[in-house]
Amino acid sequence: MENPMDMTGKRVLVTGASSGIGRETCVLLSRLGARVVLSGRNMENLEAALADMEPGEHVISPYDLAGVEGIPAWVRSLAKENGPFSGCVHSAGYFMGKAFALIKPQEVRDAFAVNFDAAFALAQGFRHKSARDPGPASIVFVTSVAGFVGSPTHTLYSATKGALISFSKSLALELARENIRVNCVAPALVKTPLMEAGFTRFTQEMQNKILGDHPLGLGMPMDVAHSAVFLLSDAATWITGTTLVVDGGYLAH
Amino acid sequence: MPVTKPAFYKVLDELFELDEGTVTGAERLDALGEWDSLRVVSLIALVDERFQIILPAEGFADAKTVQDLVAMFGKDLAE
Ligand SMILES: NC(=O)c1ccc[n+]([C@@H]2O[C@H](COP(=O)([O-])OP(=O)(O)OC[C@H]3O[C@@H](n4cnc5c(N)ncnc54)[C@H](OP(=O)(O)O)[C@@H]3O)[C@@H](O)[C@H]2O)c1
Repeated sequence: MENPMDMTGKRVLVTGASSGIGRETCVLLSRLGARVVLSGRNMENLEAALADMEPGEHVISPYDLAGVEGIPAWVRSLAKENGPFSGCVHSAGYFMGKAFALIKPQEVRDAFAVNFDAAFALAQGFRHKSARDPGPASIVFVTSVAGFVGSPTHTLYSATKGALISFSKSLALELARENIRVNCVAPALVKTPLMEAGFTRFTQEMQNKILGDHPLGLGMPMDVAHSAVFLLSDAATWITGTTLVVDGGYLAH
Repeated sequence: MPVTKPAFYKVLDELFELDEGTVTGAERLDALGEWDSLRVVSLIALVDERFQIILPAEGFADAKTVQDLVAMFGKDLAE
């Protein structure tokens, strides 16, 4: 039976592979036949992610994306060692919720480095002819509904995620001629271990409000992984420069 | 950084945008500034950042005084 999301033989670089959405994206990609390069910082968690995947030609390459300058060369070296890429998912990122008045300039730089600058540098490395499979290719950035709607304490996080959304549109236009599609997925609240640990510390009132904002309930990492892999796959051949909202109805209000 | 009363009061100075050394521990919160949910979330974030302690949000909204906040740690803080 034909599977339009088949990824057989495609090599995909996934950042944030050690946890949450990135990790489930790796698992799904392995089930669909892709060869995955898993990246993150925590080696133990990267190995645990690999253990969850269907066996295949997968490799682990730890990298701290705060070292933005080195990213393009790192991506090219990965392609040289393992073979060229046809997909990239940037799921690495972190959430920071803090009152605007208390945010320090260094925190702004740190947040942009991983959530945004790293995406920029990854795409530069990925599109380089030495890194990329000459066939159709696809880049997916994991952004957030926070890139569309505001919320107190989300100023910095929203800015990094909104930057990804607008960046992806211009990049899509520029890379179309190179047969590279560029899209984002924008999740609302997803149940990752980190998020669940934080959630239980909210007051009951805060928890009820958040749950009420998600008509289909909170998301699971695999819900987002499915959308990211759809955008990577040939099923999305005619889709570029868009952001797929995966939010259980959060933005429908 | 280990959490002590003086270190926590410094965090409160920052939280309420007061000069360092303003909070001495005897204040009511409404004398320091607005005590609302944004302030609660910010305080929890600052305490996590400075002392690597994650306080549950439950109960914060009812706090009236600086000492009520100290009590949220659930242990005696060094003077
Ligand atoms: N969970 C949600 O509710 C939610 C909602 C909307 C959007 N998102 C977005 O979805 C993406 C994934 O989130 P998640 O919830 O799956 O996150 P998570 O479970 O917290 O995992 C974050 C991942 O990012 C990696 N990472 C963070 N800083 C890094 C750095 N400096 N260098 C390399 N890797 C780094 C971590 O790697 P190590 O742990 O190995 O360092 C980890 O794999 C993020 O971009 C997040 O903003 C999440």
